[in-house]
Amino acid sequence: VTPSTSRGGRGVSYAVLIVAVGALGGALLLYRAVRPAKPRPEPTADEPVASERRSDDREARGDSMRTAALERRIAQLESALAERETRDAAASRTPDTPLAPEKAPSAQEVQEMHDSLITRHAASPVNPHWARMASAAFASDFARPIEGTHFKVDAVDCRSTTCTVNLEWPSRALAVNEWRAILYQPTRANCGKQIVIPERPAHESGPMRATMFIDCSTWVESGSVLAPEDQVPVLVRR
Amino acid sequence: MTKFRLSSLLILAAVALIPATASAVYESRLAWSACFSDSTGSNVILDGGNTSTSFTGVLSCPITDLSDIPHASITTLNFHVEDNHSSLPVQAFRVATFFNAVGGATGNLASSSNGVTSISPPNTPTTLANAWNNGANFASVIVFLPVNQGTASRLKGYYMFKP
Repeated sequence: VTPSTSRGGRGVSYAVLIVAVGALGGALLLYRAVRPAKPRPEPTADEPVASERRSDDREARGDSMRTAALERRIAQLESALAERETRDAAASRTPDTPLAPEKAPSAQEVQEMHDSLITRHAASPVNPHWARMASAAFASDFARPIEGTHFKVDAVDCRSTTCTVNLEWPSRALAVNEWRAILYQPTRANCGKQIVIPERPAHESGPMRATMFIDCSTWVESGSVLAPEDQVPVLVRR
Repeated sequence: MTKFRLSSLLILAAVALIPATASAVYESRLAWSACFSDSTGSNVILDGGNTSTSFTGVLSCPITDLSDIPHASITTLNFHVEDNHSSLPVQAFRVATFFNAVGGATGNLASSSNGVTSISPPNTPTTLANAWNNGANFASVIVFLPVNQGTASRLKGYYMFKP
């Protein structure tokens, strides 16, 4: 079990940075204010006191160096804070701007990537034993009725680590409403699944066909052991 | 001597504070009630547990996706559960829903052992990882709660970590 205490975020970082700058600035002012009342540094063994005047000069030089160092540090912190504020202002988004839209592939690109998976699957070699076993398992799993859905399974095709399942809905509207049900349908093979409902003009009607891609690569690596039938979750869906 | 100590303390404080801000890590914890029940009929989720004696309970849980902790950067994803079924585990898998297209991808199942425990749905196989790792897609986790045998198996909450 992972420890689960919150450690804050950027807001806390800002607060710490601002407090640090403030603390250093305040400390510097305080340091200057109390300086005359402070005792002189004690002489060290290898640096005996030669005269009152020389000792004062050394102290003044030391104070000056320390003050300069503190001022440099404050300047660095102020600069870092300003840089961060500028960067964050540039990165700020309006509420309606989607997160990282520049990274989002278009619907057509997603469809093309999905189609390329299916093409690669069709071109991949067949492991007859595995393909028979996996096809039978998926055909049986997807034959289980899912309440309130309207799709039918046309064909299941398995090769050596991947499968495809051809699905058909009476309309695209039903496919859009129900694709999650088939994607979440529990199966005895522990594989990943992907589905894309194709785009089409709104005026086009008729059945909607889509192909679900099943990636069993990690399941194959772990020995392709099917879960017992009575271990498969039994779902009731909308 | 006191002057030297004061200066040293200030520098030490600054040295300690700056790396602390630069190396901040991000965590997010959510209770089970952040999820919604993705099933109906006689299937009722109460206090994160499945009350149905016939059907698996299904919870759909949103994954944190903030600028400080985008879902694609999460390296630890733990679901804290109570598995009270004699033979059926609590199971969970990741889901990535495409931003611009209708559809999505799901990952491999993670299954619990009996008792109070946690499960970590993996970012596998590659098909799911490709969809999950795209920051524009929407991330969630589906949790299956087995039927109730007298004491409900339940989801207590979940934890996400980004280094």
